[in-house]
Amino acid sequence: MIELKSVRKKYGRRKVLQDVTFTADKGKITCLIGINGVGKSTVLKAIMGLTPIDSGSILIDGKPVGKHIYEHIAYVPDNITMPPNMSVGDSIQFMKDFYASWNDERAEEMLEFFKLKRVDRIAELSKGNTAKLNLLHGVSLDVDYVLMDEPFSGIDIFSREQIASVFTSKLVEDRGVIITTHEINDIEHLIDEVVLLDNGAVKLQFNCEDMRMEEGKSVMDVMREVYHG
Amino acid sequence: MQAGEGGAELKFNSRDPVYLQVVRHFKEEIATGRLEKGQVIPSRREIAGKLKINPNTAQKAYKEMEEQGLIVTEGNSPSRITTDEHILSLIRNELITDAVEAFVQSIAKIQVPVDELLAIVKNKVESTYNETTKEEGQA
Amino acid sequence: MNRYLKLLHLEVARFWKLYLSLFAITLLMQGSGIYYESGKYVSSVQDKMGPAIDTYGKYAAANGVVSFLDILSSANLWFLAPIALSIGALSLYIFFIWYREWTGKNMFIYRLLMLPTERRNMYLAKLSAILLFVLGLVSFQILILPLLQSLYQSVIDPVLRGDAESMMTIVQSHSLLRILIPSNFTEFVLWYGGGAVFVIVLFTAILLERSYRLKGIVAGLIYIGIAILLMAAPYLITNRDNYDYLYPSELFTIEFVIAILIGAMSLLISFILINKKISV
Repeated sequence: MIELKSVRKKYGRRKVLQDVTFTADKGKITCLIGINGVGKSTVLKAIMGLTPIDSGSILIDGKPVGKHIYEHIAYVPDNITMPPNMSVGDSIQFMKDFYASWNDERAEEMLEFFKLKRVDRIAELSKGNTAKLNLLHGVSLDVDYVLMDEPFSGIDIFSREQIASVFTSKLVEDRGVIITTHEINDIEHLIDEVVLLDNGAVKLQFNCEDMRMEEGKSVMDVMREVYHG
Repeated sequence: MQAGEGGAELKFNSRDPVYLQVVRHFKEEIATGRLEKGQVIPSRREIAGKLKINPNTAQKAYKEMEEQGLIVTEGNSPSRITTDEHILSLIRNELITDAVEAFVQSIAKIQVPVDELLAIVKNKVESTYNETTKEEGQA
Repeated sequence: MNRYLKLLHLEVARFWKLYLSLFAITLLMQGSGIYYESGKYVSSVQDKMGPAIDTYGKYAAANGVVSFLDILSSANLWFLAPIALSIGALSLYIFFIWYREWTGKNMFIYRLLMLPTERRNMYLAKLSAILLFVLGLVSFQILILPLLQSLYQSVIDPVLRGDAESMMTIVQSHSLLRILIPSNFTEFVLWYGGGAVFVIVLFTAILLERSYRLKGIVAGLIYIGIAILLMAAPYLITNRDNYDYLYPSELFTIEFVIAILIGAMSLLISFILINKKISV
C-alpha cells in the first residue's frame, strides 16, 4: 500500500500541496484526478522521492522512500527519461543493467506489440512512440507499483488505444497502479479508485464500483458535484 | 495486450457497476444462446482485454458469476458455462422479469390501458425484431 | 560490473565524441605549430646563408644551434591554444555534466535519481569522469610530446640542432607544462588535489542551486566564497607585519588540511542534498 498522510509542499510562496492524504492499494488502479494545477504530478514525484516535501509522510508498504524502493515501484513521467541520443535498444540495455527487477521477456513482448525498432534513436521517435517506449521502461520492471503521469495526453488515437490496452492486460494485474489525468472519459471503466484533487488538497477518495452500486453515480457525476457543487 | 480484436463490443454505461454490466452481458449471451451450456469461456485476462476493462473488474465479474452458479471453474482448467438447466432457465426468466419490471415502472406513470399498451408493445417489438433480422441479413 | 562503474562508463561514453575531438584538435594544432615553426626556422637559416656560410655546419658554428624548446616557444600560441581550449571545455563541462540532465525534452535526471543504487554513485561517477577527462588530456599531452619532438627532428637538419633534450628537461623548462605535469608527488597532490577540491566545491554550488533554485544560487556563491576565503586564510594571516613567520612546509601542511576539510565538508553537503533536497 502507498500511504500519503497530510503531505504539504510549497514552491516558493505557492502552496502546491496543501493537505494530501490518500492510500493506493496493490492490485488496484487508482486515478488521481485534478482539473487544474500541477498538484497531480507533484504528488507522484513526491512518492518517488524526486522532490522533497515540506511536511507529512509518505510510506510504501510501510517503508519511507529510499533507494530500495526503486526495485518495487516504477514511475512513468509525462516525458521520456532517457537521453535523446540513445537508441531504443541502448535504453533497454541501460534498464537491464541497473534494475534487478527488469523483465527482459516482457520488454521484448512490448517492443513487438508497440512495433518499436531497437535501432531508432529516441530523439527521432514520434510522440506516440516516445510515450510507448516510456511506458515500456516502466512497465517492464517486475515491481509492485507503477505510477503514470498523464499516460494518454497529447498522443494520437491509435497510440492511446494501444496504451489503454496495457491497462487491461496482465501487465498491470496484481500491481498497484496510480495514474493521473485531467480527463476521465477515456478511462472511466479502467480504474478502481478515484482520488479527487482540488487546489492541492484531496477532496474525496472513493471506489468507482461502490459509488455506482451505492449511489448510482458515475465518476463524472461525482466530479461535477465536487468541483461545481 | 490485444488491440483491435473483433467480437461483441460492449458499451458500458458509467452509472452501473462495470462488473455487474459484465455479468449481465454474459447472461444475455446465455439467454440468446450465443453461449451454450458447458461452453468454455475466455479467461479473465482475455475478457479484460476484449471488453477493455481492468483485470480486477473481470476477476470480480467472474467471482460474481461463480457465486450465482452461472459459470464453474474446476481447479486450473478454464471456466465453463454451467450445465445446470435450472440455473440456465432462471437466467432467461430473470432477464425478462428485470426488463419488464423496468418497463412497467416507467409506463405506470402514464396509466395506459392494458389492452392499448399490449397492442403498442406487440407492434413495436415486431418491427424491432424485423429490423434486427434485416440488419443481420445485410451484415 | 558495479553500478558506479556503469555510471562512470556512461558518463565517459556521453562525452567521448567531444573528448576525441579535443585530442584531435590538440594533436593537429600543436603538430602544425611545430611543423610550421621548424620549417620557418630552416628557411630563415637558408635566407641568412650566403657565399661565406654555405653549409648548415658553418651556420651552426657561427649562430649556434636551435633546440626543441626554442621552436616550442616560438610556436607558443599554437601550443597553448588547444590546452586553453581543453581547459575551457572541461570547465564548462563541470556545469554541463549536471545541467544537461534537467534541460531539454529529455528528463534523464528522473531516471538517474530513480536508479536502485545510492545516489552518491551518480555524483561520484560525474566527479571521477571530470577528473579522468583532465588526467586523460594531460596524459595525451605527455604522449604526443615525443611525437612533436620527432616532427621537429624530421624537419630540421641534425647539424642545425643541438643535443636532443630529455622529456624531463622539456617539461621542466616550459612554464605551463611544468604545472600540468608535476615532477614529484607533492606537486601532483598540490595541483590535482587542489583541482579536485575545486571541482567538488563547484559541484556543491551546483547542487545547492538545483535544490533551492534562486536561493540556491546565492547560497552556492557564498559557499564558493567561503571556500576561497578559507584556502586563502593562512596567507592572509601570515602576510601581516609582526607576525610569526610560517615555514613553507608548515604552510603547505595547513593548506593541505584545510583543503581536505573543505573537500570532505562539500562531499557531505552534496550527498545530503542529492539524497534529501534535490528536485527534478
